[in-house]
Amino acid sequence: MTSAKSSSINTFSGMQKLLFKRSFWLAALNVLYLLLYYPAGTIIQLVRIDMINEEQPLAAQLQARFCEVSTWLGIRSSRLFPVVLLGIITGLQAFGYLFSMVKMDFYQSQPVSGKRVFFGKFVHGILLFELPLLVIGGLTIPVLYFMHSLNGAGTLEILLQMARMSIYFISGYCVTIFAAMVTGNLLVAAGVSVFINSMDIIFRKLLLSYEQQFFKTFVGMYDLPEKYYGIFPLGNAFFGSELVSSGQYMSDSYSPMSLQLMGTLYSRIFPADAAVVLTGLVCFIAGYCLFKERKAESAGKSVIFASVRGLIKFIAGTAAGLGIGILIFDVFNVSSDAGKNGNATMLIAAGGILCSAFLVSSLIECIYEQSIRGFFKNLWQTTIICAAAVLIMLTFRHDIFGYDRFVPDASKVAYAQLTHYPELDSNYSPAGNQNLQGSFSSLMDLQRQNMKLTNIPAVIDIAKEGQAALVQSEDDESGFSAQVTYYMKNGRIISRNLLIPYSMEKKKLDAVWKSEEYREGYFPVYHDEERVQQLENWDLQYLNGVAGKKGPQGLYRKIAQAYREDLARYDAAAAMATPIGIIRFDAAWPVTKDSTGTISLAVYPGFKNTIALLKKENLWLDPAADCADRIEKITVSYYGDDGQNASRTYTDSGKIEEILRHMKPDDLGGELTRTDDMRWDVSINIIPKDESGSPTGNFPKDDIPSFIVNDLQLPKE
Amino acid sequence: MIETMHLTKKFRGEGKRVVTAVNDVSLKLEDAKVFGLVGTNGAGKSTLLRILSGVMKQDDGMVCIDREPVYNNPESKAKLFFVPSDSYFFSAGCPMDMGVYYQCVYDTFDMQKYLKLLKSFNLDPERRISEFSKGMKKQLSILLALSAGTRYVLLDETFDGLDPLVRQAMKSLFANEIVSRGLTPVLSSHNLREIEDICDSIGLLHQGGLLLSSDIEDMKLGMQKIQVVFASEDDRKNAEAMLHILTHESRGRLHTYTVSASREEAEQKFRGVSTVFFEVLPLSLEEIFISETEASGYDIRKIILN
Repeated sequence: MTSAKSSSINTFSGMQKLLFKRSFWLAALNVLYLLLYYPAGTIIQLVRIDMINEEQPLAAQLQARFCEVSTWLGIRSSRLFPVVLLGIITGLQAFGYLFSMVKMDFYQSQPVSGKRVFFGKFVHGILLFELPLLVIGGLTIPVLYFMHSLNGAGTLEILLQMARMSIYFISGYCVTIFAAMVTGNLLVAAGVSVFINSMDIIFRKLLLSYEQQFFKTFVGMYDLPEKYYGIFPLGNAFFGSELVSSGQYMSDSYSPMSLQLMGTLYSRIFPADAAVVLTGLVCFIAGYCLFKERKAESAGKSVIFASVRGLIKFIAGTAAGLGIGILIFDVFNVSSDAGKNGNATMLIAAGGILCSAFLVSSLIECIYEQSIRGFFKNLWQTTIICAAAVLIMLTFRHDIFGYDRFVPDASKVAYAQLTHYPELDSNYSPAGNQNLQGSFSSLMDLQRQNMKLTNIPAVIDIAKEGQAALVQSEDDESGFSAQVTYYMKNGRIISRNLLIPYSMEKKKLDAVWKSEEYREGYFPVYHDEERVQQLENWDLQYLNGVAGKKGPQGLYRKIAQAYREDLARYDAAAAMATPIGIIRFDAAWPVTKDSTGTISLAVYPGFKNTIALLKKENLWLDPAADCADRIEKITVSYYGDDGQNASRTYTDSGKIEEILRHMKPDDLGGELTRTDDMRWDVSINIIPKDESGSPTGNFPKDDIPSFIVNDLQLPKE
Repeated sequence: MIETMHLTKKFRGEGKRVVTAVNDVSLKLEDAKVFGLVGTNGAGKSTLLRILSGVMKQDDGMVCIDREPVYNNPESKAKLFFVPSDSYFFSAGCPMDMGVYYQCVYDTFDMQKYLKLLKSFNLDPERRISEFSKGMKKQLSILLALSAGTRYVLLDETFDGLDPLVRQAMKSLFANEIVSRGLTPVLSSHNLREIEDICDSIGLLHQGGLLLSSDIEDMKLGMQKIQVVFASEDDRKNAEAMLHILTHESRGRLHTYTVSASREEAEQKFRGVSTVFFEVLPLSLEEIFISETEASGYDIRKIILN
């Protein structure tokens, strides 16, 4: 007598053995990927890095190897994406039998319970990936130790990343199982799985695009300090690497891994991973429930459940409509005549959104019905979708939710930053692959790392006025472009662009500019403990916009000290003043120095200590008195709006000195340089006697020498 | 015993249209007897077989094997083997692969018997099934079913694609299995003539409903086909008055009746009239069906394909 219990398919090992025979190709695919990633890929990277560092001392070479292994195999790697794809393929392979009535007849008539089939296949899919991962990944570790390319922290990091790979694989697998349960067709299931997995990416991109299009205070997609994570594995697969390559962690993107760094990075990445785990769990439970409810005769249908059909249609139709809308806006932005959000553009965009939403929704109905006759089915749903897409666009157009007006509750802000791109920039990084502590790629990067303003009401005061000014202004010539970033106590980071008007009350600005927190966040002479020793060896010169003077090495500490003393009296007025010179520290390749970069310190008229030190060290250069005899000639040109031009060349040393005394050199930019008080239609071109470059500049509106006015017959502005 | 009670299965068609594939079907299939399920395309045969084998779940009613429900019940499913009209075989697989697989699924699978049967039917165990013809695949399905050693075998469109010789061979196999181990086959077909010589009882499905279900012998015992030439018109009228006539054809003076009566009863009644010619002819299953269903108001000729 036949008994189900005694057949081997009803034992775990028996079922796994049967399933493995049918999924050999998938196991081979997983093994191939893991072999390429772990041993093969790592060895190739190590060979590459050895070739780059072959001139380096042995210690540096070993450090480089540790870094390379860590960035290739560790949590800074972006290689979770292929793992999610493998999860999708595995899900489709495991439960693909549900899409064919022929296979359903075969499997469903066999004496195995549905629960055993589901869990047997589920576990099988996981084993197909996990077993090769454990073997190949596990064996790679001792191989790397043998190659002197791995240390304790690196080992832990690789194991952590293996755990993350498992999480992302299983989550992608579970999402696909859910997709398979709500569909009855392989292609549709694959499409639904990819769509669900990509929803984070699609909607985040759409949201950011619409914010960029309509909100003047939007900081720009690539300047966002916060890296967003979603709930689905495909989008979150990139979160870790995006976070690490962002400004906040740039210095950590390529440095040896330590337990502390691992903890810091993973504490930021963990919420994304936790979301992925939760999503996988929810999809698994929902998938199993739907598996029990699913009827055999669903095989061959597109989407089985009516509610899911409607939901997919709504999401896809709305996304398609909004996507086309943003493309139309992009196209029209190219034409300056069209106007960014003018009525004509809006009408065309609305039309495009409606058409696209209608078309995609109707095509989805055709897929559901598996017939072209489905095109006009459920028109009421299609109408709602079209209307929703246009409504969403209008919500952005009219800023219904007050994006541009947003200011947070001060009590909920941990700290804030007021950042901007100054005219004078700085950067620093150690050479080779050493620890990058203290490094920064720009002053903006430095601000992101160090600025922590705690006088939130003062920041909000500036931000409110700055946001309103930006929304109302036609151009950005009436103030300084800046960015406010709020680091909330709940972990969120919110940024807005500002236009700080030139007319803003100085008292308001000084509430921030005079604070120690601001100075320490902006100027590179603070938080410089890690780089002081190296900067002592950098090349030094003093530049006054017309000429320069080189100084000896070993002066950084003294200059930084004097500079800090001067900064104690720094305020907004000083920030807006034109500097009288720049102290520049430079280091460049070839590697005779242990770091590279440029540190530029603007010297303002009130910086008495710094100026005194420059004079003491024989670095000081008065732009007029000390530079006039170095100049062969100066040409001053006038370019009138009416086409009337004039030009005059001066060789007289007295006049040259006079010009130098009044002009503002282009190379001298302060922190907050105004642009509305200069005479831009009058340009100055300087030719030195030694032909070392040709500095340029302009006159302030109210400070043009009278002989220039007469010679060029300058009209009054 | 396989038993169904008020079995109903509906499918959602295009739009909100609902199609009743199986409508209130109640059957009792006795063990060690061959049951034939007949009906045109779309009658509900395949759906009924899928419900019986646990592939689909019924919307209403009950289906049991030995008083145990079938759906999602491995113990019940272990007693049956389902051969659909379009069987699934592993891609790049061979008959040996299928045999090994089923050996893991059914602990009564007899590999030696299977290999012997393959040899008898000239099917190479190591040859790729994808290279087989339609008929060879059908043969393979049936051989797998017979080798599984289950008590019940459900076969959909059983002999479709088989040549007459193989068909006869399969029928012999079934007969042997029935005798040797009490196999209970359930065969479905749209062709009555294909299965009439093997079935013990027949069920006729039409548009999801069961028009007729009966033992063939019982049907034959209670129905006779008689050809007669009467001596006179009065004899004819007298005879017709005595008989329960189901169908009547006449060509000149030759009358052919299908009557509802046993052979003895019929002969007895015709002795009372004067006849020039009288003969009792064998009835085909098709003729029995036509007679029975016409009496119920259906024109079976429209239903059964020739």
